[in-house]
Amino acid sequence: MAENTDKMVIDGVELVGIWKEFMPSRILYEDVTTEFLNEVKKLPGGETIAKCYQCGTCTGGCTLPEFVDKFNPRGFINLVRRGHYDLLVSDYKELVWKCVSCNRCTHRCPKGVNTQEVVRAIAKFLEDRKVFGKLTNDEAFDEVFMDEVINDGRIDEVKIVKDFYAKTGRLKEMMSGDQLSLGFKMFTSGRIKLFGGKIKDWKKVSQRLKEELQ
Amino acid sequence: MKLGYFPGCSLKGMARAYDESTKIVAEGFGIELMEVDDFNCCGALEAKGSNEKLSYMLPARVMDSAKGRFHVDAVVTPCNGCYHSLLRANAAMNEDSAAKSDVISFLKDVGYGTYEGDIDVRHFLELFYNEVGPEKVKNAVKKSLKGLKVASYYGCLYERPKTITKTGYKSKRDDSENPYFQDELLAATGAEVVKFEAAASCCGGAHALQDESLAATLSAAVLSAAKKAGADILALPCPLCGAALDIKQPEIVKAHGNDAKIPVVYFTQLIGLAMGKSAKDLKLTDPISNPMEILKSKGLV
Repeated sequence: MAENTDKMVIDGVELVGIWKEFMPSRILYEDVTTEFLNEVKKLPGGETIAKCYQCGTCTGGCTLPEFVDKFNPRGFINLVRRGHYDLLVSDYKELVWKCVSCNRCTHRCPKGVNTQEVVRAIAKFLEDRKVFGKLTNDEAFDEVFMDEVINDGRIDEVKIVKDFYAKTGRLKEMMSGDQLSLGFKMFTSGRIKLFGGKIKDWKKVSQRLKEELQ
Repeated sequence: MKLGYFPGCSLKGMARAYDESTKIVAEGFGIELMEVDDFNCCGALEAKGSNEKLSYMLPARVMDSAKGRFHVDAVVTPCNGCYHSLLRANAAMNEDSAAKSDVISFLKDVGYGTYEGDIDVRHFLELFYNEVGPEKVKNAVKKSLKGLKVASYYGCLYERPKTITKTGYKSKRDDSENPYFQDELLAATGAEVVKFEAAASCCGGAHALQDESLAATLSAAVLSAAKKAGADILALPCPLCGAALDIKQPEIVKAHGNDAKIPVVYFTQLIGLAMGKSAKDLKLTDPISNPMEILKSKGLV
């Protein structure tokens, strides 16, 4: 029998003597690595991932599992925390980015994990690692959106749709009968303006925002 | 209380009906809105995934402009998305001193530099409920909407997530799991508000372009739940949900059938109608989903 007078502290509780003989090690999985977790933690929105205690409240209330098979925020977080990057890429890369940002997970999380932003950070991480082999719709939309905000200050709905379709090689679809008749109705009723509102002195703000991005 | 009004990009484009009906309703009940007409985009969900600092700076510039120009106590917006961005920036400035000093130095460079995370952010629905309320609406009804069955839809970011909606907030908030402010306001017009299970479900609008078929499926689930609940019309407080559920409705119906076909309007349009305002002023002919037909058949326009 091992020496049983050493002190041992678990979760702030000091255990002495025989107790530690039958208190098993709290390493749940032998394959845990923390590099992946640390990378995600550094991304915008990823900061709170380590607070998760895997209760599953997020997945229980999530909008998507009913519509998207195997979509599971708790599961994505678990894979990151255990360092299972390869498994995430092979089995889940097409799922993570599908989050629709309804925020029910973040709202209900009992531990204060910003789950929606964590899932978004995981998707971003995969995109940054180029695991999709092409520009995804998600990245394309973020790019055209941020370009327009930074350059013009505001979003023009028609321009954003046009730029998104152009970037993803689908410009032809905008010329379909349905889209054109919708556009015509919007235009004739005055809901599409050819020269959207300009913001005075936006150039200066735009310049400053660009500096921030460098 | 001095209020800055931040309409957001959508209300100056395709959701102009929401902008104009909000102003009509506010004026009718004596709420003075000072429009922050040099506003910029709040950054929506895209900025917060792209660059943390920008996702605070963009909303902060709007609030800085409202405070610097008009010395307001609060900024009010009718858009769930803008509301989320503004609250989120406010929360960051109150909880993260590094973010706060970054934002303040940005505002000093490009704006008034007066905003320090210290003004209230309010959603027009919440503001209207708290400052006016169902009783006053009831007393102001000139044309009762009796006979009209309404599904009252809230969308996502109006009351979620609590981590930011509760930050530094002074007014009474809606119930986050079972919101009812809009239900009570609409009931005050004489309309019958139906029991509607999808009231705070997600319309999928955030992915309307990136993932069209999933977005259409989510929207169809909301629209058909409203129809199944017996509603004649669906009313909502968000221009992004409006785009997803109204402008995209022809495509949704094509893919999911007529169960998803139901007129969609902004709640302010129905309140304005009960106040006796004209369909023309309230832009009730704007929605693609054609609310005029049902309103005509009920003798309301």
